[in-house]
Amino acid sequence: MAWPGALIPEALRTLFKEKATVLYPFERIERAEGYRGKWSLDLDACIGCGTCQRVCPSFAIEMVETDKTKTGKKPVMRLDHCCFCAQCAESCPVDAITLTKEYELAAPEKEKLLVE
Amino acid sequence: MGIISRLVKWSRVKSPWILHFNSGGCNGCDIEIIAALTPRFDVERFGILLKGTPRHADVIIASGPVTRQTQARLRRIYDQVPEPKFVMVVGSCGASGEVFKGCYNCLGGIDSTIPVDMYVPGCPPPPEAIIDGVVKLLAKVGGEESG
Amino acid sequence: MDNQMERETEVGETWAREEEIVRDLRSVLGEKLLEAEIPTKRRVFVKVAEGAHREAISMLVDSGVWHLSTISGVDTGDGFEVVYHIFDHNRGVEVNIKSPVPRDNPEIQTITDLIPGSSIYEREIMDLLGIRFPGHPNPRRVILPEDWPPDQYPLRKDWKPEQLTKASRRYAEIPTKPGQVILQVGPQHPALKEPINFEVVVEGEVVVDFIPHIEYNHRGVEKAFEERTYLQGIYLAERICGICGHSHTTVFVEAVEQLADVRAPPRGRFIRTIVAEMERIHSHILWLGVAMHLIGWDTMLMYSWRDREVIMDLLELVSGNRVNYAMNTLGGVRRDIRNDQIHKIRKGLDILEKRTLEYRDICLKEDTLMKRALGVGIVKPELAKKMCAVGPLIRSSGVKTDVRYDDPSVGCYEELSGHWSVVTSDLCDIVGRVLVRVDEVLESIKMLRWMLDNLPNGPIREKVPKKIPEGEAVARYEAPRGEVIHYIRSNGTDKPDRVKVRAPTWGNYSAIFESMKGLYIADIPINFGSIDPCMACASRTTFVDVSHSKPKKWTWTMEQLVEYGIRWYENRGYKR
Repeated sequence: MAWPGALIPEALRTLFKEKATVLYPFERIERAEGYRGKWSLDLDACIGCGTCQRVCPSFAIEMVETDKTKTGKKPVMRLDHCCFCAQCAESCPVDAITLTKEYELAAPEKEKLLVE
Repeated sequence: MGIISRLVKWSRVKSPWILHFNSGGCNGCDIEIIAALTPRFDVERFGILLKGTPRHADVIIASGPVTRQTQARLRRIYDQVPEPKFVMVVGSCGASGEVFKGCYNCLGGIDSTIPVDMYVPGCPPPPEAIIDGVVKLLAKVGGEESG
Repeated sequence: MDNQMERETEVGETWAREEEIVRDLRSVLGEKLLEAEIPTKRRVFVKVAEGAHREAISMLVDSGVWHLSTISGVDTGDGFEVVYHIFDHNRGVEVNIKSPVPRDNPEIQTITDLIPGSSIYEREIMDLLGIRFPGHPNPRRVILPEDWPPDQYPLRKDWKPEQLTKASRRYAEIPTKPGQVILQVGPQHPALKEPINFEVVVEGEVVVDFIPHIEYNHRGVEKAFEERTYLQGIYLAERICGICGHSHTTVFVEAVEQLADVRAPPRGRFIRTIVAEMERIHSHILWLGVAMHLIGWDTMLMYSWRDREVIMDLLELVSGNRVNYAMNTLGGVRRDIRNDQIHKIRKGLDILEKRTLEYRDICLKEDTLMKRALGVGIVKPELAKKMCAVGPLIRSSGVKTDVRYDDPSVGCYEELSGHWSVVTSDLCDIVGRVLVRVDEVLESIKMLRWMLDNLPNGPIREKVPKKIPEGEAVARYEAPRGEVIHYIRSNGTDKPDRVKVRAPTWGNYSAIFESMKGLYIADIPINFGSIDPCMACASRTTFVDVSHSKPKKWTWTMEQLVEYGIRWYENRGYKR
């Protein structure tokens, strides 16, 4: 038999339990191990081969001139293009790229979203 | 009327009402925007309400690479929102097209059609990042007037 | 039931059922059957002469076959080819009938009289490739935007985006009788989802006709696949849909593995299926909350999405992101599952099972839901089969069909058979769809527990060459909304020649739009929401009221429609 307010007993039960809300930004949820957040490059390990640029599905990585790597090029990443798939980190032959746990990346202009 | 305009600016920053528009994306960002309203994240603590009509909104939250069919509608909605208005783009495909770059029906991001005040990259950004974007936008608004 | 018994006894013989189909087709077509190929289990590819496709399809329809998965159009360079993908439930085999179409006169006879559900697929090919189907009952534009120039066909190989000229904006005129009112529900609404536009012809309060416009979310993804490598294509496939992205990558990767003749190792296939079932749980709980919101019962939205966070945390633990898991790669999966993660998953499943049983109980007791949804939006099994519906929609009409059961070629469903059962309901209405989805969550939890108990050891991926040999492959899977099918043709390079994607909601449109006729305006949101629509479409509903002397036309957003529905029922004494 149906009656309105079938959720009321459930609601009364949760009245005395702890709240479900996480008070962001005063409390934060710990992100899981292996979370795919902001891109970061270890420039000492990078050899400038360009594999990351070739496999990126959203064409977010560009190779620019530098004098710190063997081939004279290093990757820069535009975060507004990145799809956070970690394919570049997986394909890198020297493991120079990692994806960190940082996710608060809002910015008012697109230029601020360039990561070197 | 310095004190009135300061009062108005204070109340606008304290509880912005938002309008959500999906311009043809995959819905990942839209689901995270709705998850921001649910108990675990609860943006209503900040006074943010999700409104249905553009006439009541202060901030447009847009997502998705703009498709040809939605471009005119997006422009019309932007014109219908009363001044002062702000636009926040959620997701990387709203910022630049992302994986849809080069698709024949996509025009490459929300800023091809309307001016944007804040970008939140991610695919999709978690609800905390969206709240962080709104907070940064309000800080920018409280600091200066923008149209 | 009989299908499963048959299959178990035939495990030793590999191609018996497939060869039987080829023999039957040859006996009907004779010389007109040009080629026949059986590349793998449960797949038959035949090529027929021009004009002979109708004979082949009527032979299959007469022998009891009713399900058309999709129709693909391919530009082969010197001509076109139209491929009909038909699933034979009796034998559990997908039959793909290829029919050539000449380039200078691209016409091929329609099959809408044999299988009415093919209408929307033929309209899509008319739009994208320019092939005509004489005899089609409704040859209107369905997927390209309204201001697309009429003679440009994007999926042709010689078309480039630079050729696109700006055409004048033309809104399609709806013929209205005197006293008809057109109600527009705009592409922007707050409740979620995508823009879609319906034009609804109403007589007073009752819907007489329903014309949808679903072109808002068309992005041109099929053409984009041809310009990306297979590896890049995986991430594009994932973003076809944000809620069932893993299903699209699973099917894409399985089809490429079929072409490369590589099978993922057992542990990889198990992990793929574990993530897929977790995705099903998250999608169904999401739908439950949203559907209750469309009725006006917002409390249930908040409670169910609070519990959905349990599965979202587990998915983030396993894959690294709450949405867009990117677990699949060519040849297997990218990440392994550790024992401490398995322990957390088990604890999460216990919580979810308890909560889901409580929700099932509450939903059946709640008066609001029963008054609004019992007996509304009836889709009888004959209509569902005629319109080739998929997923929980057809299972709630009592038809026992599920790709994981009929065609377990993806993931580890072959190992799983016998440890789970297909959920159906005989109610045929919205309450039936609620029950089917809630029970599917419970079945998924059962499957997950079995898979975690029996997870094999070993590697998680195999190597797949960069250049995929020439061939074609079809892969099907049961996404949370229904059957997803990808058809891929490769040409020996590292980029595909043609990728055809048919998402499950596309297959459900025809059935649900038929069921709208005769409903009240107030029931439109929940009836449309009951198929769990997954299209970025802004709903714009145009109502046409036929009962007044002067035609009246008005436009509503989806939120206004939902509010109207709530007020309409409240005025008749039903409280929220």
